[in-house]
Order: sequence, then structure tokens, then C-alpha cells
Amino acid sequence: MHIVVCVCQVPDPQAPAGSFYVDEAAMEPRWSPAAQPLLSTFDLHAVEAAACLKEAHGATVTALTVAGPEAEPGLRRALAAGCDQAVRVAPPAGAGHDRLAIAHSLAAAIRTLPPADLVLCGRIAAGWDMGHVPAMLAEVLGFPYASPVTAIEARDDGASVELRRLTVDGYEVVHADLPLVAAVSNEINEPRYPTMRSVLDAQRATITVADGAVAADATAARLTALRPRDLSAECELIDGETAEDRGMALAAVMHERGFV
Amino acid sequence: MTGAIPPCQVAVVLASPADPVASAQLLATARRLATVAGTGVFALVTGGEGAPHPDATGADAIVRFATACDVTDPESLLHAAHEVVLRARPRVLLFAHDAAGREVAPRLAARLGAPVITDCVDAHIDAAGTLTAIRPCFSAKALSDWSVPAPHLAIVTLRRDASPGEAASAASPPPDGGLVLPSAPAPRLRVIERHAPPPGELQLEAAEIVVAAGRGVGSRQDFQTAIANGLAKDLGAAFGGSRGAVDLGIVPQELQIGLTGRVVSPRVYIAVGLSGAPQHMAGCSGARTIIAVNTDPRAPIFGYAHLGVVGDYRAVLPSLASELRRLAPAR
Amino acid sequence: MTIDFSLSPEQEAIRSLAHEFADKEIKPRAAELDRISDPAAIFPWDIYEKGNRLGFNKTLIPTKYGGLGLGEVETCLVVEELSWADGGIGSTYFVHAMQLLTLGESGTEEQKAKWFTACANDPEERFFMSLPWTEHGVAGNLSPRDFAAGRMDNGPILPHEWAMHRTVPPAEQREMTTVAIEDGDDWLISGTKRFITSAGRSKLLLTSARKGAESTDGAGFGLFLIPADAPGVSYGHIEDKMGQRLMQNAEVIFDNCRVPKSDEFTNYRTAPRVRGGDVEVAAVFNGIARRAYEEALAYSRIRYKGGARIVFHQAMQMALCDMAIKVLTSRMLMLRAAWENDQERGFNAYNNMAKIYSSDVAVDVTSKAMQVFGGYGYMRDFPMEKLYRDARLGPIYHATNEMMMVGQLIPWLAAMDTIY
Ligand SMILES: Cc1cc2nc3c(=O)[nH]c(=O)nc-3n(C[C@H](O)[C@H](O)[C@H](O)COP(=O)(O)OP(=O)(O)OC[C@H]3O[C@@H](n4cnc5c(N)ncnc54)[C@H](O)[C@@H]3O)c2cc1C
Ligand SMILES: Cc1cc2nc3c(=O)[nH]c(=O)nc-3n(C[C@H](O)[C@H](O)[C@H](O)COP(=O)(O)OP(=O)(O)OC[C@H]3O[C@@H](n4cnc5c(N)ncnc54)[C@H](O)[C@@H]3O)c2cc1C
Repeated sequence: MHIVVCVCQVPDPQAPAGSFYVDEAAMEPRWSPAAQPLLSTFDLHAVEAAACLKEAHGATVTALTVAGPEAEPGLRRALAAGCDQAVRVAPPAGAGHDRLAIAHSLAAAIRTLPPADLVLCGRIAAGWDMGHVPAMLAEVLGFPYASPVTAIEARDDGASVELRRLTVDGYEVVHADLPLVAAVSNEINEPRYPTMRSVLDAQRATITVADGAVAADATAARLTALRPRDLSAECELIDGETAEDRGMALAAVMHERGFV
Repeated sequence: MTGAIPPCQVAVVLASPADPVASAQLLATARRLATVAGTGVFALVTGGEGAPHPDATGADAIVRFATACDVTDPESLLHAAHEVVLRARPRVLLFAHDAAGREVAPRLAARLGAPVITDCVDAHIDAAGTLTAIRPCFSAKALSDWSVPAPHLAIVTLRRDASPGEAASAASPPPDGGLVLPSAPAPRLRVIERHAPPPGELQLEAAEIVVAAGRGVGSRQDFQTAIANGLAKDLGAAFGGSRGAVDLGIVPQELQIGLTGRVVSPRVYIAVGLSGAPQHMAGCSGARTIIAVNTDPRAPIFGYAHLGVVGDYRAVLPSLASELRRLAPAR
Repeated sequence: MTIDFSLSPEQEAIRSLAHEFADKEIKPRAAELDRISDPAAIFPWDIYEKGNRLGFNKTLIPTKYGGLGLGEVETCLVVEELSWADGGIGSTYFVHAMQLLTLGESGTEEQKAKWFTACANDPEERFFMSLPWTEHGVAGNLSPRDFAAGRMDNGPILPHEWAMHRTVPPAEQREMTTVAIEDGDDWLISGTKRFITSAGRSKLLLTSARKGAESTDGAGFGLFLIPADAPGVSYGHIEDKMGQRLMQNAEVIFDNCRVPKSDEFTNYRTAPRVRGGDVEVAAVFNGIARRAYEEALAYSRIRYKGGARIVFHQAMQMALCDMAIKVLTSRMLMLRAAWENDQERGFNAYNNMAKIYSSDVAVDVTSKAMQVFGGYGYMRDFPMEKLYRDARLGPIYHATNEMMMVGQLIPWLAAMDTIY
């Protein structure tokens, strides 16, 4: 089985909200102090899912990204966490926010690799919060698609998987023939830490740089403004000697202001 | 074969029949866009020939399948939406930003090579016909405007509470537009089992008051005592939780609130033992009043809350609940 | 153009792994573990096992024995990050690292093969080493008298070499109550050691003992490798400490413990000695100090008093500046010393400076950080009082800062005309 895990780096999603600001002229997000670029959280779960399938059934796992060289630490993290090889495709010129160009570039790169049985992605990358790429990739490849996936088991026939996907009010158990694109959610596993040895090995591994970027489409929706949204509120702290007193005082305020 | 639907209209893919409010909001936004653009609104209904379609009230016409479409299968919906675009050539295609919309909109965009803007809180069309949709990003810390010039098709998904004030005006169900879509091909994924807890619990999105539990609540049992059978019950409130709470099994996954969960905008949101991570706040920032109970005065939640209590919820909640009972015994 | 202050990509990857582990596995639990009143019930094996599985106790083991073959710079990076989350856990790793350094330097090939391999391949991932050295009357460093005498038992004293080592000076050997008595091919060891880090948890002891029942200036002091569960080894009182409670310190009692002569350390120059491990200690306190600075800065940004967030009050800004300068200079000194060690540029006393400075800095910075927190800083709900307690150990253990200056740093400085 050949599993391709599509990964990307994002600015640390746990960076304190106060460090975030917007450069409105450039329509770019900024962080001060800088938010560390990290492998996207859900992608870590996708890598772990691939590593588990590899352990259970044997598989080759390729980590793939469409990004500049600044994304290589993320690929190395994927290598340390169980991927066998890493491929980076330089992003298409002028892609901007065109996710479809990214999906086409990923698909083009996947077609140059040994046939992929399973393509795993994270369900969404924190930041622009779009989550388009996995679904688009499935369409471009012509593969069926499942998301958000919270469990995945390979069947003995090696040609199909059984998975769970979340629904609005619960989940479904689904049978799918391979190949398939699955976008995983965090419930699927607890990513293990890479060991120091695997971290060192990953640092020494070679990352394949492929071209295959597919030009962006001029008709993509264009970003015309980015502005900050201040959600912060002036918090009125309830006073009181003990926690119980403060609970009672809160009740009085809620009652008085007609919250109940 | 083209039916009676003229091109360049605003098309709406109705939300799940379980959520008529979402469909009504979609139709209201569609009407607003169509009025500016000087066109009409039609809705895709998923029931087969002869099935009632009360959710489509407010549209000028409907299109339907020859036989009923399985709304729980995103691939069928994708197929239908694709057919609608090919045959009726709408200018704008609106979906609800629910589980189906999240998946189908970008897939359709890829299939058509069309622009897509998802999770929008608003959309409008200017005199030149350029559609602009507004979506939150960076965990709701920023808003972004995205535009698609005429005459290109724009695929847009709308967040449920996007335009809470709007409501459909037309009274009678719209006529059939005469466009009947061929049935969807057999789905490639086979659903073996469905698990959904009994719906008894108050619908989160519709609730006036929501009590949200975080990792700090500690255990499912404490949650049951202090919140489910305690404060939330007393207030007649719905409850949900943060991912921290879901991870610990305090609340089930389907009640997760946030960027990758549900989005609520109640009148009062009571956050108990949750730190207020941006990805959580993305799901509740529409609340009119946020009340936080947390032991840590430095918790980020106090930066979003209007009222805050620093303290252990195990002490705060019982006294809060009993005092509320005393002040408003009718409850 | 060789000067370069950046970490290599490998070092950065290791540091970030250690930080992630500290942040997710240690930080959320440290305060609660610290509060357990029974010192025997604290040692968090699950955290240590997980960390060892990642390799934190194997950095200094050469690859040919199955270790990671890394140096002291990398070890310091790991220990600093772990200590950022908990100083006690950092200390457990520092003491272990110090013994690995000693084994690497003074062990025979057989001893290295046996114990490095045991540590690298421990299926339980519980391999830590202890150094039962301190007794009531002996803590162990050269004294000015030894330098005045100009020599140890087996050769001249070179100050820069002794700056990196610990030994029992002749004057103190008389006070040593742990004795090794020859019995055929074995030594029989008896005596009691105090305050020993990881005692009762570690798997291997590196013990000092006076050879022969009578005191004989210098000639009769030795170092012995003893499996922690050897017959004749038992553990006494577990110390109830002010801070760093996630490491365990206990008495080690030897009662006619039989040690084959092949387990004695003999591969040393001039006198039995252990490597200092001073930079690894410095890493513990740099981690604590940096954490205190971060906490103080974050708090000062949200605490509103006197019409502004306190970070806008100049007095607070000056305190934060002072902390930042100290945290940074202390880490630079540690990395310089560790780098010197890894380059094998010769023995040096930058190590002593790093230990002394970092521990003083940590006490100072945690104290200032507590001040920034005001009354909350003194409360156990907040991290400051624990950081302060954890920091306060620095100038005391390993060798008090005074003893280290008197016995190691001063002789080194005295032998040089300048410092660079
Ligand atoms: C891409 C992405 C998407 C995400 N999507 C979501 C999402 O949809 N929803 C979501 O919630 N999260 C989401 N997260 C995770 C989010 O970043 C946080 O990790 C999560 O919200 C933390 O949950 P928490 O606040 O319950 O836990 P914590 O951050 O651990 O907070 C627990 C709080 O409880 C307090 N506490 C402890 N004990 C008590 C007590 N006895 N009484 C009162 N207070 C107490 C503590 O002081 C602390 O502030 C996402 C993350 C990423 C990266
Ligand atoms: C938490 C902890 C962990 C420890 N772990 C270990 C361990 O793993 N292995 C081990 O062997 N030991 C260990 N120790 C012991 C530690 O190394 C000694 O406590 C330390 O060296 C000080 O020795 P002492 O306690 O005998 O103090 P003393 O030597 O009695 O010092 C008392 C005071 O006298 C001063 N003083 C002493 N000698 C001189 C001198 N020559 N010149 C000037 N001033 C002097 C000191 O600076 C100090 O201020 C540990 C101690 C602690 C507290």
C-alpha cells in the first residue's frame, strides 16, 4: 500500500490571541512576537494515521507539500513521525489564495509517484481556516472522499478500508474501496512524539524537490480586504470573599440584567 | 435539456430538512442578492416527484430530482448541484455551511473550476455585478472579503447565523421550475452503520442560553452533576463543550463548539473551565453576553468575557444555581 | 569567520522536541505533583519513562553502544527545556548526564560496553544513574590547601583540569565514613551517603569510598560502580525538600556490599574523580529562569493596576529588562562552556562560571518575577512560588557556589592573567 500524506505548515495556532494583528494594506496576517511555523495540527494526526496503518499492514508513506523551502522543517517532522520519504513541490507562481491551484499541484505530484492507494490530509489548516484542499484534491484525482474521518482500518483484501466519519449529530461507519482521499480529524489518534533518533535521522534525510506546480486559475475568488476583528471585551470581575460568594453575586447580576 | 429556469439566477441548495431555519436564512440572503442583480431565486429540493417542499418557501421556483436524493450522502448532493449548474447556469450558488456544504462546495468548485468562498457571514452584489462575500478567518480574529466579478459563477457557503434578522416573505410554496434532474449515480462510499444519539437534547444553535464545559470540568460525572443536571437544567439551557472537554469525554464530539465544531450565537454563553482558545472562541463569538468561570485569572477567556468569576466551578456553580432558584423561583 | 551563535537544524529540532514534551507532558502536571506531601509518592515514573523512550537519557551515550552520540550542547538544550517545565525533572537528567560523562571519561572499555549498553537498551526505560558521594562530613571539592600543597596523590594538580572535575581532597578523605575493605578479588563497602539524587529509583550507583579502615591521605580513595539492587545496598530516609520535588533524594546505605575489583573505576589521571556536569546544572537553572521571565512578562501584560497594565509601569519594565539580560547572558555562558567541552578544547572553568552564574541568576530572576506578580506571586495557585523554591537549590547543591569558587574557579583564575 502506498499512502500519501499531504501536509502544510501553519503559524502556531496556539500563539496568544494578543500577538495577532493584521496588515490591512498588504492584506496579510502578522504576529508579534512571530508565531512559530508548525506542521498543521490535523496533518500531524494524518501522519500518525499513516504510521499506524504502516505498522499494522505494511505500507510506504510519502509526505507531500506544495510550499517553499521554509516548509521543510514540517516535512522533516513528518519524516520523524513515520513517513518514509518527503516530497516538496514549489508553489505555483501567483497562486495567492487559490486553493484549487494547490490541489492541482498536489495531484500532479501524486501522479508522478507510485500509484497512491490512500491520500490522507488534515481536515483544515488553522489560519485562513478554509479546509478546501482535501475535497478539491479528491475531485481533481477523481477519488472518492471522506471527511472528517475519526477512524480508519484497512481491510484484509488490501483494496478497501473501513472508516468512521463525523456527521452533524454523530458518526457513520463507512466502507470505501481504494483509492480514496480522507481528511482526518483529531479524534482519530493521539500523535506520538518522534524519538530523538528519528528526529536526527529526519534532519539528515534528503527531501525530494519536484516540480509539477500547476498554474493558478485567474478566476479564483480574489481577496479584496482583510481587517482585524476585535472580539475582546472589558471583563467585569465579580467580587466576593469566597468562590461561593462570587457565585451568589453572579446570580444577582444575571437576574438584575434579565439574563435569566 | 434546459428547463424553464432562466440563467444568471441565484440558486440555493437547501439545508438539511432537519434545519428549516438555515434554509430560510439561505433563501433570504439569496433574495437580497437577486434583487440587486435583478434576477430570481430558485431552490434545489431533494425530495422526489410529488414530495412536499415547505423549506423552499421564498424561492421563485424549484428544481428537483426524478427520484428522491439521499441528503445524507454528500456525493449525491454534489452530483445534483453539478447538474443544476450545468443546466440552469446560475450566477451564485448558495449552500448552508453545514457538514454537507463544507464538503460539497469545494468539490463542486474543483469539478467546475469555479471560485468558492466558504463559511461566509455575509454576501452582497454591487452595481457592476461583482459578488463579495465576507468570511471570518484566523479563528475569527479577522474578517476577509473575497470577490468574484460578473459573469462568473460564485459558489458560496453561508454560516447559519449569518443573517439572523432576515426571513422569507413569500407565503406559498414555489412552483416547479420544470427542470428534473436525473438520479444520482450510486455512491462510492457505502454507509454500514449510522450512530446518532437521541435528539432529545436542546438544539445548540437554537438555544437562548448555552453552558459550555471545558477541560477544567474534569470528568463526565462532574459535568453531569454540575452542568447537565445542574445549572443548564435550571436555566433551561443547551450545553456543549470545548475540544478539551471532548478529548476527556466530558461531552460528546457532536457537541463541540468552535472552529471545527458548531457555531452558536446565543443571548448568554456561560464558559465553565475552558481557557478561551481562539479556535474555541471562533464558535461562540456571536454570543451577546459571555460569562466565564475559571480558576485562573490569566486565562484568555477573561479577555472575551463580559462577566467573569475567578474560582473553582465546583464551588461557584452550585451557589450560582441555588441563588438563581431563590431569585426566580418560577423556574 | 567562524563565530556563529545559531543552533544547527539538528539542535533546533532536538530543542523543539524537548520543549514540546515539556509543554505537553510535564507542565500540566508539575504543580500538582509538587504538592504531594509524601516525598516517596511523587517521582513520576510515567513521565520519565516516556522521556527516556524519546532518548533524553541517552544523548551522551556514543552511537556504538546504541546511544545518540550527541554532545553537551545538545544535552544542555534538552535539560533546559525539561527544566522550563520542572526543575526537579531537569535535575534528575542532569545528574544522570554527569555520570554518563564520567563513565565515558574514566570507565574501562568493559565498563563502558556493559553500562552504556544497559542504559541504551533498557526495556523498561528506567535507566538512571546516581552519584552517592556526599556524606555528613564530605561534600567534595578541592580546597585551597590542596592547591597550596601543589599536588594530589598521583601527580601535579592542573587547575584547569580540576575545574571540570570533582574529587575528595586529602584533607576531607579523613572525614569519609564510607569504607571499602579488600576481600580477595572484591571490595566490601559499608557506609551511608546523604541527599543522593535518584537514590531508590536509579539502576546504577557510582559511589565514592575510602579504601582501608584507616585514613591514609589520598592513597586510599576509590570510585565504584554498583548496581542499585546489589545485595548490601539499601535506601534510607527520603528527603522532604523545599523544591525540585519531582526528583527524589534519599540516603544510600551500604552494608558489606560486595563489589568485584573489575567494577572499580581505575582509568583516571592523578586521582579518582567524577566529571563536573556543571553546564548541565546550568541548563536546569536557565530553564527555570527563562520560565519565570516568561510568566512575569505574560502577567505584566494582563494585570491592570494604577491606571495601566503593569507592563507599562517603568519600574516593572526595568525589572523585566534586568531579568531578560540575565536569562540571556546566563544561557550564552552555558552554551559557550558546553561548546568548549564538545570541541575538546581542553579543560576549562567556564563550566564553573556557568553553574555559579546560572544558579544565582535563577534565584534573582525568580525573586524579581515573584515581585511582578505581587501578592499572587506568593500564592500556591500561581507558578511563581514553585519556580522560586525550585531555583533556590541552585547555589546549594552539586557543590555550593562558594565551594565551587574557592575550590575550582579561583585556582583557575589565579593561574591566568586575563579572561576571554
Ligand atoms: C485547527 C484547530 C482547530 C481547533 N478547533 C477547536 C474547536 O472547534 N473547538 C475547541 O474548543 N477547540 C478547538 N481547538 C483546540 C483549542 O486550540 C484548545 O486546545 C481547546 O479549546 C482547549 O480546550 P479547553 O479550553 O477546554 O482546555 P484548556 O485550555 O486546558 O483550559 C482548561 C481551563 O480550565 C480551567 N480550570 C481548571 N480547573 C478548573 C476548575 N475546577 N474550575 C474552573 N476552571 C478550571 C483552567 O484554568 C483552564 O483555563 C482547535 C485547535 C486547532 C489547532
Ligand atoms: C537536592 C540535593 C541533591 C543532591 N544530590 C546529590 C547527589 O546526587 N550526590 C551527592 O553526592 N550529593 C548530592 N547532594 C549534596 C550536595 O552536593 C551538598 O549538599 C553540597 O555540596 C553542599 O554540601 P553540604 O550540604 O555538606 O554543605 P556544607 O559543606 O556543610 O556547607 C555549609 C556552608 O559552608 C560553606 N562552605 C563549605 N565548605 C567551604 C569552603 N571550603 N570554603 C568556603 N565555604 C565553604 C558552603 O558554601 C555553605 O554555605 C545533593 C544535595 C541536595 C540539597
